[in-house]
Amino acid sequence: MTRAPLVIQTPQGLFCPDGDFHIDPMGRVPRALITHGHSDHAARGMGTYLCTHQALPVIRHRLGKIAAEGIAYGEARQIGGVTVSFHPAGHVPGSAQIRIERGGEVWVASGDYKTAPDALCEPFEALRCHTFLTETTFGLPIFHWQREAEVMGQIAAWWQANAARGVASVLLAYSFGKAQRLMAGLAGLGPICTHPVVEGVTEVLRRQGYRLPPTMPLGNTPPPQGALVIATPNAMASDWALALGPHQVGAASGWMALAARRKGTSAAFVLSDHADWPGLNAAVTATGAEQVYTLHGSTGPFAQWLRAQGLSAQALS
Amino acid sequence: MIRFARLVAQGAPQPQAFAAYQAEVGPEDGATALRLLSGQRPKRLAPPATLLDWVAKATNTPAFLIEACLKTCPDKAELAALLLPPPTTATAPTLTEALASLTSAPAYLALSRTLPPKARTILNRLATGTFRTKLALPQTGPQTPGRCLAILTLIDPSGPEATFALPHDNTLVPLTRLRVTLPQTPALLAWARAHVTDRFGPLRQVAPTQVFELAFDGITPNARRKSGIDLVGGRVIAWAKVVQACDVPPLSALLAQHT
Repeated sequence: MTRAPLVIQTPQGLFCPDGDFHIDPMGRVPRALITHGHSDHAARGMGTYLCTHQALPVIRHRLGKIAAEGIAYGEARQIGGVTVSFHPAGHVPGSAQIRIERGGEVWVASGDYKTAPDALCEPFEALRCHTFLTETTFGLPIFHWQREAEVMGQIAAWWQANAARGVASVLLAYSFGKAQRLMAGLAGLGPICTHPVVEGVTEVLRRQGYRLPPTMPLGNTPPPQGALVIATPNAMASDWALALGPHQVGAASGWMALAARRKGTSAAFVLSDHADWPGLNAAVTATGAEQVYTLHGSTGPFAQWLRAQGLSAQALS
Repeated sequence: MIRFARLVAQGAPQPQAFAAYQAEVGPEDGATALRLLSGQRPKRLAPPATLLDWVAKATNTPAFLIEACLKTCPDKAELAALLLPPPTTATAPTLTEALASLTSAPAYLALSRTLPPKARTILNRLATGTFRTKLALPQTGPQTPGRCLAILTLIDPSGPEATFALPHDNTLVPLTRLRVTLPQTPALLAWARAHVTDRFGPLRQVAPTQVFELAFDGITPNARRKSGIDLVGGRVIAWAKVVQACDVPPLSALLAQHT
Protein backbone atom coordinates (compact mmCIF):
# COMPACT_ATOMS: atom_id res chain seq x y z
CA MET A 1 0.00 0.00 0.00
CA THR A 2 1.37 3.39 -0.90
CA ARG A 3 0.90 5.97 1.81
CA ALA A 4 -0.06 9.56 1.09
CA PRO A 5 2.96 11.83 1.11
CA LEU A 6 3.61 13.74 4.32
CA VAL A 7 4.62 16.86 2.42
CA ILE A 8 3.47 18.06 -0.98
CA GLN A 9 4.22 21.12 -3.04
CA THR A 10 1.49 23.75 -3.44
CA PRO A 11 1.52 27.20 -5.05
CA GLN A 12 1.98 28.70 -1.54
CA GLY A 13 4.92 26.42 -0.74
CA LEU A 14 5.46 23.07 0.97
CA PHE A 15 2.31 21.71 2.61
CA CYS A 16 1.69 18.92 5.08
CA PRO A 17 -1.89 17.70 4.46
CA ASP A 18 -2.06 15.58 7.61
CA GLY A 19 -0.98 18.51 9.80
CA ASP A 20 -2.73 21.16 7.74
CA PHE A 21 0.26 23.51 7.82
CA HIS A 22 2.70 25.01 5.33
CA ILE A 23 6.47 25.19 5.65
CA ASP A 24 8.08 28.55 4.76
CA PRO A 25 5.08 29.61 2.65
CA MET A 26 5.31 32.62 0.36
CA GLY A 27 1.56 32.91 -0.29
CA ARG A 28 -0.91 33.69 2.54
CA VAL A 29 -1.86 30.57 4.52
CA PRO A 30 -3.55 30.03 7.91
CA ARG A 31 -0.69 28.17 9.60
CA ALA A 32 3.01 28.53 8.81
CA LEU A 33 5.97 26.61 10.23
CA ILE A 34 9.05 28.72 9.61
CA THR A 35 12.59 27.31 9.36
CA HIS A 36 14.37 30.66 9.79
CA GLY A 37 14.05 34.41 9.54
CA HIS A 38 15.37 35.16 6.03
CA SER A 39 12.77 36.95 3.92
CA ASP A 40 12.51 34.14 1.36
CA HIS A 41 11.43 31.80 4.16
CA ALA A 42 9.57 34.05 6.61
CA ALA A 43 7.05 36.23 4.77
CA ARG A 44 4.28 38.51 6.00
CA GLY A 45 0.62 37.62 5.90
CA MET A 46 0.33 34.20 7.56
CA GLY A 47 -2.44 33.46 10.06
CA THR A 48 -0.05 32.01 12.66
CA TYR A 49 3.67 31.37 12.78
CA LEU A 50 5.60 28.63 14.54
CA CYS A 51 9.40 28.71 14.71
CA THR A 52 12.17 28.08 17.24
CA HIS A 53 12.43 30.35 20.27
CA GLN A 54 15.80 31.40 18.89
CA ALA A 55 14.40 32.36 15.48
CA LEU A 56 11.35 34.22 16.74
CA PRO A 57 12.83 37.57 17.90
CA VAL A 58 14.40 38.32 14.50
CA ILE A 59 11.21 37.25 12.71
CA ARG A 60 9.18 39.59 14.93
CA HIS A 61 11.76 42.35 14.39
CA ARG A 62 11.37 42.00 10.63
CA LEU A 63 7.66 41.24 10.25
CA GLY A 64 6.23 43.45 13.01
CA LYS A 65 2.97 42.43 14.70
CA ILE A 66 2.33 38.75 13.94
CA ALA A 67 0.60 35.89 15.74
CA ALA A 68 3.63 33.76 16.44
CA GLU A 69 4.78 31.10 18.84
CA GLY A 70 8.20 29.73 19.67
CA ILE A 71 9.17 26.09 20.17
CA ALA A 72 12.31 24.60 21.70
CA TYR A 73 14.78 22.66 19.54
CA GLY A 74 13.87 18.98 19.81
CA GLU A 75 10.47 19.56 21.43
CA ALA A 76 7.82 17.24 19.93
CA ARG A 77 4.45 18.74 19.14
CA GLN A 78 1.34 17.10 17.80
CA ILE A 79 -0.22 19.06 14.96
CA GLY A 80 -3.24 17.35 13.43
CA GLY A 81 -2.23 13.83 12.47
CA VAL A 82 1.54 14.36 12.66
CA THR A 83 4.24 14.98 15.26
CA VAL A 84 6.50 17.87 14.49
CA SER A 85 9.88 18.92 15.92
CA PHE A 86 12.51 21.52 15.00
CA HIS A 87 16.26 20.69 14.85
CA PRO A 88 19.32 22.91 14.28
CA ALA A 89 20.18 23.56 10.62
CA GLY A 90 23.44 25.49 11.19
CA HIS A 91 22.39 28.15 8.67
CA VAL A 92 21.71 31.26 10.78
CA PRO A 93 20.88 31.78 14.49
CA GLY A 94 17.69 29.94 15.31
CA SER A 95 17.47 28.14 11.98
CA ALA A 96 15.86 24.72 11.93
CA GLN A 97 15.11 21.62 9.95
CA ILE A 98 11.54 20.50 10.48
CA ARG A 99 10.97 16.83 11.29
CA ILE A 100 7.50 15.39 10.62
CA GLU A 101 6.48 11.95 11.83
CA ARG A 102 3.33 9.92 11.21
CA GLY A 103 3.12 6.39 12.50
CA GLY A 104 6.85 5.71 12.30
CA GLU A 105 7.33 7.35 8.92
CA VAL A 106 9.67 10.34 9.11
CA TRP A 107 10.11 13.20 6.68
CA VAL A 108 12.56 16.05 7.20
CA ALA A 109 12.37 19.45 5.49
CA SER A 110 15.85 20.85 5.72
CA GLY A 111 15.16 24.54 5.16
CA ASP A 112 18.50 26.16 4.41
CA TYR A 113 21.38 24.43 6.14
CA LYS A 114 25.12 24.37 6.58
CA THR A 115 26.88 21.26 7.87
CA ALA A 116 30.14 22.96 8.92
CA PRO A 117 30.12 24.76 12.29
CA ASP A 118 30.68 28.48 12.78
CA ALA A 119 31.26 30.81 15.73
CA LEU A 120 27.65 31.86 16.02
CA CYS A 121 24.77 29.55 15.24
CA GLU A 122 23.49 26.26 16.65
CA PRO A 123 25.41 23.47 14.84
CA PHE A 124 23.65 21.33 12.21
CA GLU A 125 22.13 18.14 13.53
CA ALA A 126 21.92 15.11 11.24
CA LEU A 127 18.47 13.45 11.42
CA ARG A 128 17.47 9.98 10.28
CA CYS A 129 14.44 9.98 8.01
CA HIS A 130 12.72 8.12 5.20
CA THR A 131 12.23 11.16 3.03
CA PHE A 132 14.52 14.18 3.01
CA LEU A 133 13.57 17.48 1.42
CA THR A 134 16.94 19.12 0.92
CA GLU A 135 17.91 22.54 -0.27
CA THR A 136 20.44 22.47 -3.15
CA THR A 137 21.47 26.13 -3.45
CA PHE A 138 25.08 25.05 -4.06
CA GLY A 139 24.30 21.59 -5.42
CA LEU A 140 27.07 21.39 -7.99
CA PRO A 141 30.51 19.78 -7.58
CA ILE A 142 32.22 23.14 -8.14
CA PHE A 143 31.35 24.33 -4.63
CA HIS A 144 33.84 23.27 -1.97
CA TRP A 145 34.13 25.59 1.01
CA GLN A 146 37.33 26.29 2.90
CA ARG A 147 37.29 26.06 6.68
CA GLU A 148 35.75 29.15 8.25
CA ALA A 149 38.96 30.04 10.11
CA GLU A 150 40.87 30.26 6.81
CA VAL A 151 38.34 32.62 5.27
CA MET A 152 38.21 34.77 8.40
CA GLY A 153 42.01 34.95 8.19
CA GLN A 154 41.77 36.23 4.61
CA ILE A 155 39.23 38.86 5.61
CA ALA A 156 41.33 39.92 8.60
CA ALA A 157 44.42 40.32 6.37
CA TRP A 158 42.44 42.46 3.91
CA TRP A 159 41.04 44.58 6.74
CA GLN A 160 44.47 45.09 8.30
CA ALA A 161 46.07 46.01 4.96
CA ASN A 162 43.35 48.62 4.36
CA ALA A 163 43.68 49.93 7.91
CA ALA A 164 47.44 50.34 7.42
CA ARG A 165 46.70 52.63 4.47
CA GLY A 166 44.11 54.61 6.44
CA VAL A 167 41.25 53.19 4.37
CA ALA A 168 38.02 51.78 5.82
CA SER A 169 37.00 48.22 4.89
CA VAL A 170 33.35 47.86 3.89
CA LEU A 171 32.14 44.28 3.90
CA LEU A 172 28.85 43.53 2.16
CA ALA A 173 26.68 40.87 3.76
CA TYR A 174 23.06 39.95 4.49
CA SER A 175 21.86 41.93 7.48
CA PHE A 176 20.79 38.76 9.32
CA GLY A 177 23.13 35.84 9.70
CA LYS A 178 26.15 36.56 7.56
CA ALA A 179 26.68 40.01 9.10
CA GLN A 180 26.74 38.63 12.64
CA ARG A 181 28.77 35.58 11.65
CA LEU A 182 31.41 37.96 10.29
CA MET A 183 31.54 40.11 13.43
CA ALA A 184 31.70 37.00 15.62
CA GLY A 185 34.53 35.57 13.50
CA LEU A 186 36.46 38.86 13.40
CA ALA A 187 35.91 39.97 17.01
CA GLY A 188 38.80 41.68 18.76
CA LEU A 189 40.74 42.69 15.64
CA GLY A 190 39.65 46.33 15.53
CA PRO A 191 36.63 48.63 15.56
CA ILE A 192 33.54 47.15 13.83
CA CYS A 193 30.88 49.54 12.55
CA THR A 194 27.48 48.65 11.15
CA HIS A 195 24.82 50.06 8.88
CA PRO A 196 21.70 50.80 10.99
CA VAL A 197 19.79 47.89 9.41
CA VAL A 198 22.59 45.48 10.36
CA GLU A 199 22.80 47.02 13.84
CA GLY A 200 19.05 46.53 14.38
CA VAL A 201 19.24 42.77 13.78
CA THR A 202 22.52 42.53 15.70
CA GLU A 203 20.99 44.17 18.74
CA VAL A 204 18.07 41.72 18.67
CA LEU A 205 20.47 38.75 18.61
CA ARG A 206 22.67 40.31 21.30
CA ARG A 207 19.68 40.63 23.62
CA GLN A 208 18.93 36.93 22.99
CA GLY A 209 22.36 36.11 24.35
CA TYR A 210 24.28 35.34 21.14
CA ARG A 211 27.95 36.19 21.74
CA LEU A 212 28.60 39.18 19.52
CA PRO A 213 31.35 41.79 19.84
CA PRO A 214 30.53 45.44 20.47
CA THR A 215 29.65 47.29 17.28
CA MET A 216 29.22 50.95 16.45
CA PRO A 217 26.22 51.92 14.33
CA LEU A 218 27.17 54.45 11.65
CA GLY A 219 24.75 57.26 10.94
CA ASN A 220 26.05 59.95 8.66
CA THR A 221 29.45 60.16 10.29
CA PRO A 222 32.66 58.63 8.94
CA PRO A 223 33.90 55.44 10.58
CA PRO A 224 36.87 55.64 12.96
CA GLN A 225 40.38 55.07 11.62
CA GLY A 226 40.98 51.49 10.51
CA ALA A 227 37.38 50.36 10.99
CA LEU A 228 35.54 47.45 9.44
CA VAL A 229 32.07 48.46 8.28
CA ILE A 230 29.44 45.75 7.79
CA ALA A 231 26.69 46.85 5.44
CA THR A 232 24.10 45.43 3.09
CA PRO A 233 24.56 45.82 -0.68
CA ASN A 234 21.49 48.11 -0.70
CA ALA A 235 23.12 50.43 1.83
CA MET A 236 26.04 51.03 -0.52
CA ALA A 237 23.62 52.37 -3.14
CA SER A 238 22.12 54.89 -0.69
CA ASP A 239 23.22 58.33 0.55
CA TRP A 240 24.47 56.62 3.69
CA ALA A 241 27.54 55.45 1.76
CA LEU A 242 28.59 59.05 1.00
CA ALA A 243 29.84 59.58 4.55
CA LEU A 244 32.17 56.57 4.49
CA GLY A 245 35.23 58.46 3.29
CA PRO A 246 38.03 56.51 1.59
CA HIS A 247 37.11 52.83 1.64
CA GLN A 248 37.48 49.46 -0.05
CA VAL A 249 34.49 47.19 -0.66
CA GLY A 250 34.60 43.45 -0.10
CA ALA A 251 31.89 40.84 -0.38
CA ALA A 252 31.47 37.59 1.54
CA SER A 253 29.28 34.93 -0.07
CA GLY A 254 29.42 31.41 -1.43
CA TRP A 255 28.85 32.85 -4.90
CA MET A 256 32.25 34.55 -4.68
CA ALA A 257 33.66 31.15 -5.66
CA LEU A 258 32.77 32.17 -9.23
CA ALA A 259 34.95 34.70 -11.05
CA ALA A 260 31.91 36.18 -12.80
CA ARG A 261 30.39 37.03 -9.40
CA ARG A 262 33.63 38.57 -8.14
CA LYS A 263 33.62 41.26 -10.83
CA GLY A 264 33.15 44.73 -9.39
CA THR A 265 34.31 43.95 -5.86
CA SER A 266 37.85 44.80 -4.89
CA ALA A 267 37.91 41.86 -2.49
CA ALA A 268 35.81 38.72 -2.55
CA PHE A 269 35.61 36.08 0.17
CA VAL A 270 34.02 32.68 -0.31
CA LEU A 271 31.95 32.34 2.84
CA SER A 272 28.57 30.65 2.69
CA ASP A 273 25.79 29.87 5.15
CA HIS A 274 24.72 26.97 2.93
CA ALA A 275 26.15 23.48 2.59
CA ASP A 276 28.68 22.96 -0.19
CA TRP A 277 28.70 19.93 -2.51
CA PRO A 278 30.42 17.60 -0.01
CA GLY A 279 28.17 18.96 2.75
CA LEU A 280 24.98 18.28 0.81
CA ASN A 281 26.11 14.76 -0.06
CA ALA A 282 27.15 14.03 3.52
CA ALA A 283 23.84 15.36 4.82
CA VAL A 284 21.81 13.20 2.44
CA THR A 285 23.86 10.13 3.36
CA ALA A 286 23.50 10.82 7.08
CA THR A 287 19.70 10.89 6.86
CA GLY A 288 19.65 7.35 5.48
CA ALA A 289 16.70 8.53 3.37
CA GLU A 290 15.49 6.34 0.50
CA GLN A 291 13.69 9.26 -1.07
CA VAL A 292 14.98 12.77 -1.58
CA TYR A 293 13.31 15.89 -2.93
CA THR A 294 15.47 18.83 -3.95
CA LEU A 295 14.58 22.52 -3.58
CA HIS A 296 16.33 25.77 -4.58
CA GLY A 297 19.30 26.15 -6.88
CA SER A 298 20.62 23.11 -8.70
CA THR A 299 17.59 20.94 -8.01
CA GLY A 300 17.63 18.99 -11.29
CA PRO A 301 21.33 18.09 -11.46
CA PHE A 302 21.51 17.21 -7.76
CA ALA A 303 18.44 14.94 -8.01
CA GLN A 304 19.92 13.27 -11.08
CA TRP A 305 23.20 12.82 -9.20
CA LEU A 306 21.38 11.14 -6.31
CA ARG A 307 19.51 8.86 -8.72
CA ALA A 308 22.87 7.86 -10.18
CA GLN A 309 23.84 6.91 -6.58
CA GLY A 310 20.81 4.62 -6.40
CA LEU A 311 18.42 6.86 -4.45
CA SER A 312 14.92 7.83 -5.44
CA ALA A 313 15.25 11.57 -6.00
CA GLN A 314 13.19 14.25 -7.65
CA ALA A 315 13.46 18.00 -8.14
CA LEU A 316 10.64 20.01 -6.55
CA SER A 317 11.43 23.44 -7.96
CA MET B 1 51.95 30.21 -8.40
CA ILE B 2 49.51 31.38 -5.73
CA ARG B 3 51.26 34.74 -5.52
CA PHE B 4 51.22 35.08 -9.32
CA ALA B 5 47.48 34.31 -9.39
CA ARG B 6 46.98 37.06 -6.81
CA LEU B 7 49.03 39.45 -8.97
CA VAL B 8 46.81 38.90 -12.00
CA ALA B 9 43.50 38.44 -10.12
CA GLN B 10 42.23 41.89 -11.06
CA GLY B 11 43.50 41.87 -14.66
CA ALA B 12 46.56 43.74 -15.91
CA PRO B 13 48.88 44.35 -12.93
CA GLN B 14 50.17 47.86 -12.35
CA PRO B 15 53.97 48.30 -12.46
CA GLN B 16 54.06 48.98 -8.71
CA ALA B 17 52.21 45.74 -8.00
CA PHE B 18 54.54 43.88 -10.34
CA ALA B 19 57.61 45.34 -8.64
CA ALA B 20 56.26 44.23 -5.26
CA TYR B 21 55.62 40.77 -6.71
CA GLN B 22 59.17 40.54 -8.07
CA ALA B 23 60.64 41.59 -4.76
CA GLU B 24 58.62 38.94 -2.99
CA VAL B 25 59.16 35.94 -5.27
CA GLY B 26 62.77 36.45 -6.29
CA PRO B 27 64.54 36.44 -9.67
CA GLU B 28 63.43 33.10 -11.12
CA ASP B 29 59.68 33.57 -10.76
CA GLY B 30 60.10 37.29 -11.42
CA ALA B 31 61.62 36.52 -14.80
CA THR B 32 59.03 33.85 -15.58
CA ALA B 33 56.20 36.24 -14.69
CA LEU B 34 57.70 39.01 -16.78
CA ARG B 35 57.80 36.72 -19.81
CA LEU B 36 54.17 35.65 -19.31
CA LEU B 37 52.98 39.21 -18.76
CA SER B 38 54.89 40.36 -21.81
CA GLY B 39 52.83 38.10 -24.02
CA GLN B 40 55.11 35.07 -24.24
CA ARG B 41 52.92 32.02 -23.74
CA PRO B 42 54.10 28.60 -22.73
CA LYS B 43 53.46 25.79 -25.20
CA ARG B 44 49.80 24.75 -24.98
CA LEU B 45 49.33 21.51 -23.07
CA ALA B 46 45.74 20.93 -24.19
CA PRO B 47 42.66 22.84 -25.33
CA PRO B 48 40.22 23.82 -22.54
CA ALA B 49 37.72 21.06 -23.39
CA THR B 50 40.42 18.38 -23.13
CA LEU B 51 41.72 19.74 -19.86
CA LEU B 52 38.17 19.76 -18.47
CA ASP B 53 37.77 16.18 -19.65
CA TRP B 54 40.89 15.10 -17.73
CA VAL B 55 39.60 16.75 -14.54
CA ALA B 56 36.11 15.26 -15.01
CA LYS B 57 37.65 11.78 -15.30
CA ALA B 58 40.01 12.35 -12.37
CA THR B 59 37.08 13.44 -10.16
CA ASN B 60 34.60 10.84 -11.52
CA THR B 61 32.21 13.63 -12.46
CA PRO B 62 29.54 12.38 -14.88
CA ALA B 63 28.86 14.25 -18.12
CA PHE B 64 25.43 15.50 -17.04
CA LEU B 65 26.99 17.24 -14.03
CA ILE B 66 29.64 18.83 -16.23
CA GLU B 67 26.84 20.12 -18.46
CA ALA B 68 25.02 21.54 -15.42
CA CYS B 69 28.22 23.13 -14.10
CA LEU B 70 28.91 24.78 -17.45
CA LYS B 71 25.58 26.59 -17.15
CA THR B 72 26.73 28.14 -13.87
CA CYS B 73 30.40 28.45 -14.82
CA PRO B 74 30.79 28.60 -18.61
CA ASP B 75 34.55 29.19 -18.44
CA LYS B 76 36.07 25.71 -18.90
CA ALA B 77 39.43 26.69 -17.40
CA GLU B 78 37.70 27.97 -14.28
CA LEU B 79 35.36 24.97 -14.14
CA ALA B 80 38.29 22.56 -14.32
CA ALA B 81 39.82 24.47 -11.40
CA LEU B 82 36.66 24.36 -9.28
CA LEU B 83 35.91 20.67 -9.84
CA LEU B 84 38.97 19.43 -7.99
CA PRO B 85 38.61 19.39 -4.20
CA PRO B 86 40.61 22.03 -2.27
CA PRO B 87 44.30 21.21 -1.79
CA THR B 88 45.26 19.14 1.22
CA THR B 89 49.00 19.84 1.05
CA ALA B 90 50.49 22.87 2.75
CA THR B 91 53.27 23.31 0.19
CA ALA B 92 52.59 25.10 -3.05
CA PRO B 93 54.74 25.25 -6.19
CA THR B 94 56.45 28.34 -7.53
CA LEU B 95 55.23 29.76 -10.82
CA THR B 96 58.26 28.31 -12.57
CA GLU B 97 57.65 24.86 -11.07
CA ALA B 98 53.98 25.06 -12.01
CA LEU B 99 54.82 25.84 -15.62
CA ALA B 100 57.30 22.98 -15.68
CA SER B 101 54.44 20.59 -14.83
CA LEU B 102 52.60 21.40 -18.02
CA THR B 103 54.02 18.39 -19.83
CA SER B 104 51.38 15.67 -19.44
CA ALA B 105 47.91 15.10 -18.02
CA PRO B 106 49.17 13.24 -14.90
CA ALA B 107 51.84 15.86 -14.16
CA TYR B 108 49.33 18.66 -14.62
CA LEU B 109 46.71 16.97 -12.43
CA ALA B 110 49.20 16.20 -9.66
CA LEU B 111 50.29 19.82 -9.56
CA SER B 112 46.83 21.28 -9.94
CA ARG B 113 45.65 19.35 -6.88
CA THR B 114 48.18 21.24 -4.71
CA LEU B 115 46.80 24.66 -5.69
CA PRO B 116 43.78 26.63 -4.44
CA PRO B 117 41.07 27.23 -7.07
CA LYS B 118 42.03 30.78 -8.09
CA ALA B 119 45.63 29.77 -8.73
CA ARG B 120 44.39 26.64 -10.53
CA THR B 121 42.31 28.79 -12.85
CA ILE B 122 45.39 30.79 -13.83
CA LEU B 123 47.39 27.58 -14.28
CA ASN B 124 44.59 26.27 -16.51
CA ARG B 125 44.71 29.41 -18.63
CA LEU B 126 48.44 28.94 -19.04
CA ALA B 127 47.98 25.24 -19.81
CA THR B 128 45.29 25.91 -22.41
CA GLY B 129 46.93 28.90 -24.07
CA THR B 130 44.11 31.20 -22.95
CA PHE B 131 46.17 33.36 -20.57
CA ARG B 132 45.81 36.91 -21.91
CA THR B 133 46.82 39.18 -19.03
CA LYS B 134 49.61 41.63 -19.73
CA LEU B 135 51.39 44.27 -17.70
CA ALA B 136 49.55 47.62 -17.52
CA LEU B 137 51.53 50.84 -18.50
CA PRO B 138 55.36 50.51 -19.23
CA GLN B 139 57.43 49.93 -16.10
CA THR B 140 58.55 53.28 -14.78
CA GLY B 141 60.38 52.15 -11.70
CA PRO B 142 64.13 52.46 -11.22
CA GLN B 143 66.06 50.72 -13.99
CA THR B 144 68.91 48.34 -13.41
CA PRO B 145 71.81 48.95 -15.77
CA GLY B 146 73.60 45.87 -16.96
CA ARG B 147 75.53 44.08 -19.65
CA CYS B 148 74.91 40.99 -21.66
CA LEU B 149 76.28 38.94 -24.48
CA ALA B 150 74.24 38.63 -27.67
CA ILE B 151 74.63 37.04 -31.09
CA LEU B 152 74.74 39.07 -34.29
CA THR B 153 72.02 37.88 -36.68
CA LEU B 154 71.32 40.72 -39.13
CA ILE B 155 73.28 43.72 -40.27
CA ASP B 156 72.41 46.76 -42.36
CA PRO B 157 75.78 47.93 -43.70
CA SER B 158 74.49 51.45 -44.41
CA GLY B 159 74.20 52.32 -40.69
CA PRO B 160 75.80 50.20 -39.83
CA GLU B 161 72.98 48.84 -37.68
CA ALA B 162 72.92 45.33 -36.35
CA THR B 163 70.30 43.06 -34.86
CA PHE B 164 71.33 40.96 -31.88
CA ALA B 165 69.57 37.89 -30.60
CA LEU B 166 69.57 35.55 -27.62
CA PRO B 167 69.04 31.78 -27.44
CA HIS B 168 65.58 30.75 -26.24
CA ASP B 169 64.01 27.29 -26.59
CA ASN B 170 66.45 26.05 -29.25
CA THR B 171 66.01 29.13 -31.38
CA LEU B 172 67.28 32.69 -31.49
CA VAL B 173 64.95 35.46 -30.35
CA PRO B 174 65.73 39.02 -31.54
CA LEU B 175 66.74 41.15 -28.58
CA THR B 176 67.58 44.59 -29.94
CA ARG B 177 68.77 46.55 -32.97
CA LEU B 178 71.71 48.86 -32.35
CA ARG B 179 74.11 51.09 -34.24
CA VAL B 180 77.62 49.65 -34.29
CA THR B 181 80.35 52.24 -33.61
CA LEU B 182 83.28 50.06 -32.68
CA PRO B 183 86.90 50.55 -33.83
CA GLN B 184 86.52 47.15 -35.51
CA THR B 185 83.45 48.20 -37.51
CA PRO B 186 85.24 47.98 -40.92
CA ALA B 187 86.51 44.52 -40.01
CA LEU B 188 83.02 43.51 -38.91
CA LEU B 189 81.52 44.68 -42.23
CA ALA B 190 84.17 42.71 -44.08
CA TRP B 191 83.35 39.61 -42.03
CA ALA B 192 79.62 40.13 -42.66
CA ARG B 193 80.11 40.40 -46.46
CA ALA B 194 81.77 37.00 -46.37
CA HIS B 195 79.10 35.34 -44.23
CA VAL B 196 75.78 36.51 -45.68
CA THR B 197 73.15 33.74 -45.56
CA ASP B 198 70.16 35.74 -46.82
CA ARG B 199 69.14 39.22 -47.90
CA PHE B 200 66.04 41.28 -47.03
CA GLY B 201 66.33 44.61 -48.83
CA PRO B 202 69.30 46.39 -47.28
CA LEU B 203 69.44 43.83 -44.46
CA ARG B 204 71.95 41.02 -44.57
CA GLN B 205 71.34 37.88 -42.56
CA VAL B 206 74.67 36.51 -41.37
CA ALA B 207 75.79 33.25 -39.85
CA PRO B 208 74.88 33.45 -36.13
CA THR B 209 78.39 32.87 -34.88
CA GLN B 210 79.66 36.27 -33.80
CA VAL B 211 79.14 37.37 -30.20
CA PHE B 212 79.01 40.96 -28.94
CA GLU B 213 78.93 42.50 -25.53
CA LEU B 214 76.05 44.93 -25.05
CA ALA B 215 75.42 47.43 -22.26
CA PHE B 216 72.03 48.86 -21.30
CA ASP B 217 70.40 51.15 -18.76
CA GLY B 218 67.42 48.96 -18.07
CA ILE B 219 64.85 46.46 -19.31
CA THR B 220 61.16 47.16 -19.85
CA PRO B 221 58.45 44.71 -20.85
CA ASN B 222 57.14 45.03 -24.38
CA ALA B 223 54.48 42.58 -25.46
CA ARG B 224 55.10 43.26 -29.15
CA ARG B 225 58.64 41.91 -28.97
CA LYS B 226 59.31 38.20 -29.35
CA SER B 227 61.65 38.52 -26.38
CA GLY B 228 58.91 40.25 -24.42
CA ILE B 229 61.27 43.11 -23.50
CA ASP B 230 62.99 46.25 -24.73
CA LEU B 231 66.52 47.16 -23.79
CA VAL B 232 66.62 50.78 -22.64
CA GLY B 233 69.76 52.71 -23.64
CA GLY B 234 71.33 49.71 -25.32
CA ARG B 235 74.80 50.07 -26.92
CA VAL B 236 77.44 47.80 -28.41
CA ILE B 237 80.51 47.69 -26.16
CA ALA B 238 82.77 45.10 -27.74
CA TRP B 239 83.11 42.30 -30.29
CA ALA B 240 83.60 39.34 -27.99
CA LYS B 241 85.62 37.28 -30.44
CA VAL B 242 86.74 34.78 -27.79
CA VAL B 243 83.15 33.76 -26.94
CA GLN B 244 81.41 31.01 -28.90
CA ALA B 245 77.77 31.60 -29.84
CA CYS B 246 76.82 28.39 -28.05
CA ASP B 247 78.16 29.86 -24.80
CA VAL B 248 75.88 32.90 -24.84
CA PRO B 249 73.47 32.73 -21.87
CA PRO B 250 69.82 32.42 -22.90
CA LEU B 251 67.11 35.06 -22.69
CA SER B 252 65.84 33.58 -19.43
CA ALA B 253 69.19 34.26 -17.78
CA LEU B 254 69.02 37.93 -18.77
CA LEU B 255 65.49 38.22 -17.43
CA ALA B 256 66.44 36.48 -14.23
CA GLN B 257 69.31 38.90 -13.61
CA HIS B 258 67.54 42.10 -14.50
CA THR B 259 63.93 41.79 -13.42
